[in-house]
Amino acid sequence: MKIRIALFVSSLALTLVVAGVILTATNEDWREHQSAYYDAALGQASSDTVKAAIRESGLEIKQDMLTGFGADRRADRCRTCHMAVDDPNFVDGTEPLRTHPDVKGHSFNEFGCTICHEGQGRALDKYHAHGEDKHWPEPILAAPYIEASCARCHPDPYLDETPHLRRGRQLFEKYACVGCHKMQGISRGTLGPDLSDIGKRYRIKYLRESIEDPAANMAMTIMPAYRMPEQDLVDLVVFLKSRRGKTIFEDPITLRTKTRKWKKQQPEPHEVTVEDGKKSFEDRACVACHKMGMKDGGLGPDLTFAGLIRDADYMEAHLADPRSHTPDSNMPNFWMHETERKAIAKYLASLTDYRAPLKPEEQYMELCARCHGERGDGNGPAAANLVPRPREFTNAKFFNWLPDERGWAAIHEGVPGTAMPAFRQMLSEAQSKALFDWIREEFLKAKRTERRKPRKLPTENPVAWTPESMERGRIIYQKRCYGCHGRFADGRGPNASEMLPRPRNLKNTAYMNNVSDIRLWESITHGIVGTGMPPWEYLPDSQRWDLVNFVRGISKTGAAAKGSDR
Amino acid sequence: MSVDRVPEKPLPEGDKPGLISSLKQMPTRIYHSIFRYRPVPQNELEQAQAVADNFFFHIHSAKVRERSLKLKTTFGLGMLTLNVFLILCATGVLLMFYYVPSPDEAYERMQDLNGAVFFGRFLRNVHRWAAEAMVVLAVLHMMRVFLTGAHKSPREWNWVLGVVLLLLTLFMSFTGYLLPWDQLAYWAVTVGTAIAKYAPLIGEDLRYVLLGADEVGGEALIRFYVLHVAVLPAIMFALIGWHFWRIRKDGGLARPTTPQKNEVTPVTPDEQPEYDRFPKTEGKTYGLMAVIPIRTPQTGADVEKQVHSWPSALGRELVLFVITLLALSLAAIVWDAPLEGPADPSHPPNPAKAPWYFLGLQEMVAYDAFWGGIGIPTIFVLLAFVAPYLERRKGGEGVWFHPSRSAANWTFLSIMLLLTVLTIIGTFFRGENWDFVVPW
Amino acid sequence: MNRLEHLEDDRAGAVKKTRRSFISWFSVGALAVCAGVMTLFNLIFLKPRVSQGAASKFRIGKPENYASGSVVEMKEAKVVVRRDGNRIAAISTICTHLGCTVNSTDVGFECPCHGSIYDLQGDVVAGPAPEPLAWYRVGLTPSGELEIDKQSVVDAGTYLEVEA
Repeated sequence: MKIRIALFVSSLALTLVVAGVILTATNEDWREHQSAYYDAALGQASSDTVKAAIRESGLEIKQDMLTGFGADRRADRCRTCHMAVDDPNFVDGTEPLRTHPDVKGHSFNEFGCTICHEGQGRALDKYHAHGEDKHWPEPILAAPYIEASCARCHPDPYLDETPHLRRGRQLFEKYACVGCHKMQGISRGTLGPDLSDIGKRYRIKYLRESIEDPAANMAMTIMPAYRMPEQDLVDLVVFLKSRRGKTIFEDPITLRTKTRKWKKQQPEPHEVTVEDGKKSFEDRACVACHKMGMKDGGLGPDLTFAGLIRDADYMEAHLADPRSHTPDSNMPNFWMHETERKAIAKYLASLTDYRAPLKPEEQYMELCARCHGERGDGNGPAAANLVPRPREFTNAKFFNWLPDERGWAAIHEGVPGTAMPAFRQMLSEAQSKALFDWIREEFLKAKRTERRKPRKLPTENPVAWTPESMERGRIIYQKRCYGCHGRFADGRGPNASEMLPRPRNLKNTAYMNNVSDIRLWESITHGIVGTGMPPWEYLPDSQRWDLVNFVRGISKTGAAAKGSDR
Repeated sequence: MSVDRVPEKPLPEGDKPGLISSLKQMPTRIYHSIFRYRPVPQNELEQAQAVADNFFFHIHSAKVRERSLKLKTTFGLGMLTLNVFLILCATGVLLMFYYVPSPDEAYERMQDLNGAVFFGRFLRNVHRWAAEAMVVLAVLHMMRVFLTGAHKSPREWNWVLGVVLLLLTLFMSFTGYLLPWDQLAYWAVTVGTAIAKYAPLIGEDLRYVLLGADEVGGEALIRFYVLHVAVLPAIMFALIGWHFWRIRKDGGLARPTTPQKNEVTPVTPDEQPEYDRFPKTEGKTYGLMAVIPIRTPQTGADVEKQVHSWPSALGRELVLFVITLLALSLAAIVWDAPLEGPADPSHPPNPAKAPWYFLGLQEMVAYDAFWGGIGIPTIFVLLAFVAPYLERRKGGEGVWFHPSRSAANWTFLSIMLLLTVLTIIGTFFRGENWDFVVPW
Repeated sequence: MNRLEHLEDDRAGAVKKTRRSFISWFSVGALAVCAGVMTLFNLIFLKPRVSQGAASKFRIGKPENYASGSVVEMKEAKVVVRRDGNRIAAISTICTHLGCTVNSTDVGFECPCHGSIYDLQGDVVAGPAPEPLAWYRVGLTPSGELEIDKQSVVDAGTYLEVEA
């Protein structure tokens, strides 16, 4: 009997579930939409034949089977619910029963729907068809983002019908995206990811988020957060969404010709004013990385007093090629036109309206802390993006060994080839000295220990600077030095990442110009205290001089090195 | 239509009856040519015949021990696994009508099943959830057998068959996993087959043969499809048949040598069996049809309570089947089978995970590639195969957690617990880059 | 056990027995209904609701694309579209004999397989073909395009009137 009751109960339950199955299997949304359409259409039917035709039509799945346009075969079933897209009577209807606006030359039979609107053409319920499901790579595009789809076939983004896309293309340059990112046919930045097919890979939401808050999607990103008006954000996203690698019709050759046509009209060089420079500086969003007054991107050096530390020529060369003066600079090349470079350089050079504070601790906080860090640990906000990195003042060994003269000179004259500028226009010689002394006391927390008695140094290089000597030096270098300084002597050897301070880039011409043969010999022979550079005393003297000659050669400073050796 | 309880009389000899009366008899004759008896048995002879003479039921003996039918003896796990397998076969065949094993079309067909094909979504959901359920049920069934000592002599070989069936179930599920050709499937199979690479000597070849190429692609899809719809089901059908046949030949379900008091038919020597329960027909003996409820003359042992398979066993099986169908249908209308975006070989998800039942394995691979992926699993599988032969003495058959087998039971439970914990960690506690994450 | 005792037993168990049999029959009935529904749904499942290849209902563009008196043969769709004045019709090119595709000629159609010959109206002139060629319904969509529905066969000589 028990088992009969069990059977009874389970059969009853099964019947209920089967009823549920019947309901879910037959309750399809599109049936309602189609019925609603036919009801409405019957009311608007013009003639009896049309009415009869409507009465005869049953509910069925409508499907456009399409070939071409990027797919061998594509089935769009959107018209199953959107019955009224080609019925002119539903211009004022509400979705899903609304007439599609006339886009001349684009018929549904030929193009289907998802080629422009995206979404999942084969699905028959709204949730999946509109791509609201998180797995579907291409959710439906609402206005104005749908403009991005026009670029799938029309690579020229300056169509009259696509104002947002056109603006987005301009904003891509205005916001200096071109500096860091590569974009097929537009820019060739290398700092950020290649954006040439960004629209194919990411959804609107992700693209928006990446601009507003880059760290949301990539914790380690160095991209600054751009704060821009909503309108700009939308247009920029439209443009990004339109980038899908290549358009449906294009082969590489047409792509290249189009690219050429895309190139912006360059203005003729002409006289520029400080005002032009200021405008460019703001348009280009330099403060996304740099600091200017109260605006601070938190990534690059402070430009508030740029005119006092660098001159206009330096600025212009730096904008034309950020690696012209500092070979390891992280700053992207924005490929500006000469006129714009000149204008910005002029503007920056005009920024001389700055008085340095009088007290050394205040001077340090305003002038040094951005790079060297408030605690003198060489970890200021800009430090991560500077190569070579700023000195750590907490490195007691190094600073106890460093002659004071070199410390003073570094502040007063700057260190060529690095981000360290000369502060001589802001600080007097006495002030520089006072500042350096304050730094020593503040961060080393110790009195200067007596230096060992001065080393006995040779007065001149006894080995002539000849190709043979350089070749001998090269062989020794590849044996002894490449581990830290790297095979190409760029300071990026296999061990370099584990060392702080980093090994010197020996190809930094500007820097090496200031280092005399004698100082090179001293560094090789005795090593540098407080760094990874070991003493190489046991090498024969001639070999050390060969190394010096090799470094001279590779740094392209030759025998003509100034060797001022401050 | 009135149906006699005994076979229709043979065709009359001598005078032919009239054509009309012959035609009138035709329905009855057709019925009797198929079914020999009344649809519902009315006495014990018919109950016995209903089972023994039916092609589908004769896997059962005419009578079964009452003990075997108790819920706590087996929890019906073996039967549930079979039910799920049958449902998988039925839904699988239906889905084959629409499926195309090609990278271009497979995913589109999934989309079609989800909307354009009437009832397609339901059938796909049932198939998917049944597949997941079968893995779980087979493992539970295995645990039941071990923990009740049912794998011990003389049932060792049936245990081995069971282990083979479990492995086939996993492989079956794994091959089916790829067929939707979505991101989930593609990367789960990529990861799953990558684990096979760690096998020494044959690993690379094994993977290459399975995938038919260096990477998961069209070749792999067609291979997995053939394995999934033809090769593996055929092997499984044969082995399941063998498995069931062995149950009978090994003496039914495992039970203690001395039955409990309440499992024995109370018989006093002077009480005589009620032979009149069996209708007396000339030329009939009932020797094998039913066990006469008296002490057997040979041993004097008590006779265990037995009941007719019809309706006791068959009724319970029907209930189990209804419950299986009920649960799967309910699951199918409440939860949709997962379907992620179309497979995209250039954009792996992070983390790329194998199917859930291999996540314990993947978790172990994260600790040590060879030992986690091949060494320890091989040891576990070998252990599973030889488990019944490691049992050294009789005792504990048919009893849950018998004290004499506590060492074996605890070892088995620890291994299962370890695998479960690893699988849970791999499923819920592993996020990007296989880093430990907390799912809430 | 004698016959009388049997009868008393029966009376006592009568109520129980009816209940028992009701429960059993109800269960069997419910299961039969479920099985029936499932079978029915599975059979409907087998009938495709969308075509994976060419659709049976397809559009062929606006009427003005077809000049008066023109005969356009659509090889893939196996249909001939003919416009006479302001009337448009679609005639099947599937031979009614054994399903070969007939060729359209100036005077009608001829089948390359077994030599059936049809006139311009699709009526059989010669050969083994048992029936005239089918005419399909031609309709207009709301956007003004012609639509052929190969699933609805109309009487020969049924034209769609269009505006000139």
